[in-house]
Amino acid sequence: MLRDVMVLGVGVHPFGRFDGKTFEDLGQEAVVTALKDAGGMPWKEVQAAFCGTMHGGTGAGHRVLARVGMTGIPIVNLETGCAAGSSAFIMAYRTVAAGIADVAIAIGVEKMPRGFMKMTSYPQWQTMSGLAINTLEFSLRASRHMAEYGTTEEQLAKVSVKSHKNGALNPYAMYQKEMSLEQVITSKMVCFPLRLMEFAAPGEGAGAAILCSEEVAKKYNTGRAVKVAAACIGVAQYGSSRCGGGIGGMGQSAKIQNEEVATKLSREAYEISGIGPKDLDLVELQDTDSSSEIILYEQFGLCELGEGGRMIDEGRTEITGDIPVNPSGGLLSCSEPTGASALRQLAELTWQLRGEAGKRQIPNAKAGMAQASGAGGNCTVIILKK
Amino acid sequence: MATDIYISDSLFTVPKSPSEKPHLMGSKCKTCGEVTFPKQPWCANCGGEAEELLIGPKGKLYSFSNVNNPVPEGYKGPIPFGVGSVAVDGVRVMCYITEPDPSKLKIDMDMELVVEPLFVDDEGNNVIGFKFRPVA
Repeated sequence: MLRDVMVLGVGVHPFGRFDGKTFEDLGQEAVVTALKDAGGMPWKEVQAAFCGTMHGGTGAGHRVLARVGMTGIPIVNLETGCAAGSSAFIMAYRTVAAGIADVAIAIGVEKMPRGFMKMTSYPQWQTMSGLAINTLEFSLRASRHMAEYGTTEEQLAKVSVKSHKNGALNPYAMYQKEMSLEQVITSKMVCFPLRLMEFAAPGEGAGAAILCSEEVAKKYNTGRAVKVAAACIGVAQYGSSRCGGGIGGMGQSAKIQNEEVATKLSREAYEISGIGPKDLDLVELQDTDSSSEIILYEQFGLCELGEGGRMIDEGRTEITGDIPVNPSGGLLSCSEPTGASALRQLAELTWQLRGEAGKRQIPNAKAGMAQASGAGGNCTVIILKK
Repeated sequence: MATDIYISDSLFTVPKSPSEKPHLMGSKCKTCGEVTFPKQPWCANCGGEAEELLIGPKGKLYSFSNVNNPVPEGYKGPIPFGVGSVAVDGVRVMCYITEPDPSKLKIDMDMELVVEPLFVDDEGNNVIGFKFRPVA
């Protein structure tokens, strides 16, 4: 029997480029902020730590946490591509839910190289054939979606316009500037049909979340703690579109069509939490590119299959819409420091549910969902509620 | 003297005469029948034992894109170039396609496998790989 788990404190180091700061500096700031946000919890109260990162190297979490004290607790570093931060969160959640620890911390830290991501896992033949770029995975899926459902290049561009409109209100975003439809749709084509302003940029940043039992939450600041209503994790199975995505190699089945991983995990999260797509007040999702957002609307059941483009046309996912998506500005505005990104999403949910999201605040938000996708078909779906 | 360098010796067969057609070297699971490419000794669907199977040269275009920028590391050929997902005998292969202009491509169109140079490397060698081209 699992017990309820609360998110007591969150901390985010703003996303962007910070030449004067080290990986450890970024992580330390997020951890210290999260402890303060948790009602000034002393570090020695934390009994387990999980650190998600892709580029952090050996002992990434150890190097960060040495700055707040080596108290002898387990520190586990983990990599699930761009879902590393939320995977750390889920491991912390499970540790507390199982009663193994009363307080656990999830951290995600990244200081990424500039430019398009280098894909180190592709076989040599794909590299020599010009196929070793992860933008192709998204563009091939977007192109098929356009042909199958009539999604337009303008609808794809509108996702980026919406994100930047929200990002302009977010002090943690790398790009805090609105962008016109014209600017997006005339930006350089990367891989048809996706343009430069429709891809998330790499970046630097960090996030942290303190998870604890209800008892511990009561001791600190019950009023501001939010509950983990569901925390689901998995990998795209064989015969689904993201199987093996972003790691190169394997072809895809043209015969078997299994459930998409985000469809499956969101369905599980709805079942576990008793919160359905119509009950959600906001969603933070993995908009690595603009088409991913449209496709995820459909996979989450926010609309019917093929209707994702219409959702953006109708403005339903704006902050003022009936189901706001990426009120933070998403990855498109915030940038994506891979390991940190999903913890920034979870911090956004926490702030929104507490009513602390400032100009981005969605009135009366009671339940929110965060989803991350990572290379290799990794996926996490987490629902937080008031 | 430029030599021909193949991107792999376990991905495709090389025709010995103009009348011969190339094939991709895939594999088929002895248990569930799933076809995979590149070939592998096990099945990613069920974990069963798989045996080699030549697939193609015909396929159908499942999706298409192209690469405009940036130039992918390790590739030294022309930009833009076409990329497709081509369904070949039960498996969708992500591959170089000879048509870089998306307006000239259509989902489900007939495609065929060709073995052709991708680029000339820094030492002047012809780097040869496989591509799919629309059937005229």
